[in-house]
Amino acid sequence: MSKLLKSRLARIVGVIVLAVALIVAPLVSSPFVNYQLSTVAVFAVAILGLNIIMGYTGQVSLGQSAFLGLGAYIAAYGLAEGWSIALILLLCAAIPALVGMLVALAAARLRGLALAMITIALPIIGVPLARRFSDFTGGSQGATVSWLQAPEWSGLANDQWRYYTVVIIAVIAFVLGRNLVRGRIGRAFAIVKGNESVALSMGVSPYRYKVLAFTIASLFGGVAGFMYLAIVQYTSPETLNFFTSINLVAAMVIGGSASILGTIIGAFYYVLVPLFAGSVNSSQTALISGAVLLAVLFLLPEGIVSLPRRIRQLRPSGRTTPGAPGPAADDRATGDPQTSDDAPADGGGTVRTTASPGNTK
Amino acid sequence: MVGWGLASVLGAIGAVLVAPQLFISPGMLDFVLVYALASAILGGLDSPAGAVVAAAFIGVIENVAGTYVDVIGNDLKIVVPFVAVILILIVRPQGLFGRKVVVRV
Repeated sequence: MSKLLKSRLARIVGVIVLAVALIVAPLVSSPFVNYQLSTVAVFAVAILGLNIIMGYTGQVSLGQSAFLGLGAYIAAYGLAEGWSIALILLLCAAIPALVGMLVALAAARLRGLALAMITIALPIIGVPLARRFSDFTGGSQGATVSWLQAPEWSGLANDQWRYYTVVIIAVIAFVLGRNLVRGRIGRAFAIVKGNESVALSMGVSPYRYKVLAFTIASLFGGVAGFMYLAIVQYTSPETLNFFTSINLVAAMVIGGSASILGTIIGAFYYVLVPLFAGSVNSSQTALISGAVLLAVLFLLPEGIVSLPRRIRQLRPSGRTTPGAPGPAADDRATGDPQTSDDAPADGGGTVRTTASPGNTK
Repeated sequence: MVGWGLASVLGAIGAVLVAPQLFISPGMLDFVLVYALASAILGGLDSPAGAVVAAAFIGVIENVAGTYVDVIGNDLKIVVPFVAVILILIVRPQGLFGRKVVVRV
């Protein structure tokens, strides 16, 4: 009982530390760092959507960049028409979700490579379409906007204001996503991933839940597109490029699939590793990023989020019992020590470990 | 293991055959990745002949539609084979010549 209390206390402390870090970070950093942190938030939401469809529901989706681009274009169009920002955000969530649902209604009957084929076709079709309908999208030139200037009363610079905007949206998205995957729907997703026949026998329609997962993934993709436009202030057909989708999938797998904490780590990976590789040698960015990707996947096949568990496995003294006074930092890293020891393999364990995301900071 | 090796061999042969017609560059066959995946899945993954037929179908339909249908034109021609593949897969999830796989529970 006291252990439960302690872990809850650790969780609350972790959330507070995280919140303070998120609030203070932009005030003490340079505009460049703020820009990168905001980008992390943008792609964290996109990867969260991807994780819901791929990690939690087990369906292949290589089309996330199409929804990201769609959201960005809707926001750019809405701004050009002078709509209110709340309306734009709503449309950025609703229209990609609708498109995703329509695609999924047809595609959710398929599985494996056929599903991969259909989803990979979305960005491939999207790029020439975005070029063609230049009235709506600005063609190959893309659409440049200038918005989300910091208002006078806030006393913030533009980059700080935009940071707060996207981080608030990202935090809301993550709270919603976390509740979703830990609730009834999340359990249904897990059983659909595990075995569709079992799901059916338990009264869970795999088809319906796949469509739902795909819709939610597209919704988060569209919202990420809105945030992308808020930060970058520019979108072009290249935003939809399917290499972005593949990189997002790679980042998700590296962070840790079916894990909220892994999603955040994946977003940091997505943004920071190319940056790091560029600073090592700017002409070999792709090469170094690829080497890092391979190294991570060889050493940690379950993603970076499994690092604490992996270290515990390798340590000669073996497992620490749940009650044993392990190092405090280690306990906090895995959130609830009981779950991380009991269920290392299934998704449920990793979900629980996200209870205190504070330790990523 | 052998499968990976054979796939690399076939890919290299394809590249050798196409190289004399194109300029060689590190990214020259990036898009073939997608076309190859599309034709393999469209033909049916357990049917080599299906892959050949599907690849021919994709190549021909793309260029015929791009040339003769004004609305599509050169810039949208890549859309045609993928929309066709999507429609066919919805009707026949196992591909044109693939066998239906039944999994015992």
